[in-house]
Amino acid sequence: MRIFELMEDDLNYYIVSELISGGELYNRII
Amino acid sequence: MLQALISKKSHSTMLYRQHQSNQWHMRCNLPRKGPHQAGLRRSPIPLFVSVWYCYQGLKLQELHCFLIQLCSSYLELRGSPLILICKIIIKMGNILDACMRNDTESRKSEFRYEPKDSERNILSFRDYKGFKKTGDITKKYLMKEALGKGSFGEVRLAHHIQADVACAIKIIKKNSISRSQILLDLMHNELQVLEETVRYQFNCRPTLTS
Repeated sequence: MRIFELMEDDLNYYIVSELISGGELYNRII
Repeated sequence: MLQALISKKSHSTMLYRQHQSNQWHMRCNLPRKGPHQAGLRRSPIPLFVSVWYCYQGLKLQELHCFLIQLCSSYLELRGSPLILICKIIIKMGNILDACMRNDTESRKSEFRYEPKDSERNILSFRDYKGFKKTGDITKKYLMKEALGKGSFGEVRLAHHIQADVACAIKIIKKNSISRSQILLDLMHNELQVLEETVRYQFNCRPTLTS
């Protein structure tokens, strides 16, 4: 997974990353 | 006359058997055991096995052990010039071993990736230097539906407007993580893992800012 950007504003932190579709990884593992 | 015939026949069958056994030896690629060698104890591991080991790309340490085993089995034949050959083989094994070790060490140093200072800063969460201050994020990204929710915040599907690329944005509420040190540490761990993944992507990390 790739990280594109890390940003923040007054309220939140934002981690912009690659979109990997296909549902929850947790469900896939279990 | 009859006796001569019988002896001739038995001789021919003997020859045939010998021929057959020769063929068998050739087929199995085994060294032929002649009557003159009957008294000698042969090594249980033939030489071609060692060649095969080499082809299989076994670890050289293993091969070295194997060579020693092979040589010691040959050393049972005392007073033969084979001892000298065995000693040479053992030395060769030692040299190969040393070479292999040097090789792997040099390779390790080759593949050691040193992240640049800029990359380090981007993904260090502890001092928050990596996080750029932005005004309104909705100007840059088109926010879409939520993909998942957690205790820190949520993950949203988003679209970078300028680059026209879909991406995922994890939104972490500041007041939710500043509540306790454990949450901060958890976030730090997560970013460390991400940093590890980035380290293996080398310098090909793309940026959406055009």
